[in-house]
Amino acid sequence: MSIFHFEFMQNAFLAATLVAALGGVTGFFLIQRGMTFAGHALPGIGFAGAAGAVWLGFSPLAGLVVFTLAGAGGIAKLKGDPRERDLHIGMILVTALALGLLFLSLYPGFAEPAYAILFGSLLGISKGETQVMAIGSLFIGLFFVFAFRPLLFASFDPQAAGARGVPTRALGAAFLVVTALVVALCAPITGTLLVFTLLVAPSAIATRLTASPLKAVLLSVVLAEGLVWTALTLAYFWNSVPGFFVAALAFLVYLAVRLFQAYEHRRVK
Amino acid sequence: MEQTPSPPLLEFINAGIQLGGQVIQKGITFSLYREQFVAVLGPNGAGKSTLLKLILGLLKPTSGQIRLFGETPRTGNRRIGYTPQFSSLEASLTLRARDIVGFGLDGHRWGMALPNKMRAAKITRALEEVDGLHLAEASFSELSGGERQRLLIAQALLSDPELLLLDEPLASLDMSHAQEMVALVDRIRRTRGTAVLFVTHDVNPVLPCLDKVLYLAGGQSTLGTVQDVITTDNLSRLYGSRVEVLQSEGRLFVLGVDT
Ligand SMILES: Nc1ncnc2c1ncn2[C@@H]1O[C@H](COP(=O)(O)OP(=O)(O)OP(=O)(O)O)[C@@H](O)[C@H]1O
Ligand SMILES: [Mg+2]
Repeated sequence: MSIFHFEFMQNAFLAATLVAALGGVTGFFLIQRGMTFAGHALPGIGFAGAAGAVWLGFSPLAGLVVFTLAGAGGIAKLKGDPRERDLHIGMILVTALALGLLFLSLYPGFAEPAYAILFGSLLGISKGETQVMAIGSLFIGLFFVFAFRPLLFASFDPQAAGARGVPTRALGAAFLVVTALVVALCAPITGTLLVFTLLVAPSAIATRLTASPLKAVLLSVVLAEGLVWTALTLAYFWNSVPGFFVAALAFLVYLAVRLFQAYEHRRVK
Repeated sequence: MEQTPSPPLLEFINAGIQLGGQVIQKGITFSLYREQFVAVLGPNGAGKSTLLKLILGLLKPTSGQIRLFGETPRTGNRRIGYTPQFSSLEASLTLRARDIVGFGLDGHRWGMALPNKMRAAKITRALEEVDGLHLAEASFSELSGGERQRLLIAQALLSDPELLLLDEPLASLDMSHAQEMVALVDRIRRTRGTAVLFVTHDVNPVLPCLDKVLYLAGGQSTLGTVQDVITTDNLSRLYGSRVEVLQSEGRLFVLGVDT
């Protein structure tokens, strides 16, 4: 029987396609800006928000969005060199995780909706949710098309970009807000634990393979799509969780690329 | 160059700057003319980078005035080319040399850059101008300090600037590479008629092509010829302590303080 026979599989493939595209593009810029750790922290912060919302009787999605946006705002305000910035991000993440644990323990019983955000439920996506995803992805896609060049310039050399009139601070903040939205859109599907995989793995592999920004973004998206489609297919036939396959496959591809490059490097020498 | 009839490209009129409540420079006064090569010297923290940021419009003077091409400095001015001090490059450097040089052409514009022959030709020409054509396809992270610096200069040249602001282009270069870099900048200035403000810690590599030096120290500044400015008396006054200037085999050594 075709894998697309069931509506839930159609929805899953559509949602996964969008998630992979968002992760692939956003991840490329996270790497260019040296901010992959922020991409790691935001989903964790979002989870705390979801847990808090569940405890207070709100939708976990609302908590997720509010906390990731607040987290992005906080990270955007951090100054100083990248190492110091990552230290502060780490402290924000630790505080958020502590809050998340507290909220979970305060909730009477098993906070099922919060755990759903932690682990995601690709196979439980409704048609309405995929539509929200599609609209969100469209706007985020437009942002990246619009901001592509100045964002790249400002990531490479904030001083020179600022001197040429690029609003580097505003652009950096806008990028973090967009990253927060990407996390909030993706987390209910992949789970906050695995958003990071899609944000970082495909773009990390792509930037190892090409130095051209346009090619790297496209390759990153193609890799992300390949990962989620393969993972979904494997999960369907083995009746298992897709998230595991996404992360495991990403690691294998990354390993293969590194080994191949090390081999090439030695052969050239 | 003294009797240049044309008006100055750049004029500082008793301009002072404070940052975070701290006085960095009290009253800078100097003029810069077409095709002049001026070295900006001074110890760490003297305000050399700050001076360039004032010209770029990234900072505003807290007192006095700055006139650039007869106007108040503003960001986004294509008539200035700028290469920042190296440490400001913090992000991952996986980009290709060609793309980095291309930022100088249209990096500030919204939207995406589609492959375009004219654009590629301009980038190629800028690469040639800094003897960097062979680096075009290399990834920035693989390049040496001097090669990176040349690419940044190519980037700065792409807006056809009348004034080049170079913040420590000699940092991390050995003597022979430093001399090559200075010769390159000098050639660019002569063929294009560009004025150059060249921030450096060591005046010796730039001595052959220098018109003037602008020396910053202890919140004060002096502009003049090397012979007038880099003297025991003058530097002792700027630093507020005893400084010895020695000359040996055409090289200058400043003793008693960090430069
Ligand atoms: N945003 C800021 N707020 C407060 N102080 C600042 C700021 N930026 C720079 N400073 C201070 O201004 C002084 C001048 O800095 P600047 O970077 O201009 O020095 P510099 O001459 O370029 O030094 P170096 O040789 O180390 O590059 C330093 O003491 C620095 O700490
Ligand atoms: Mg400096």
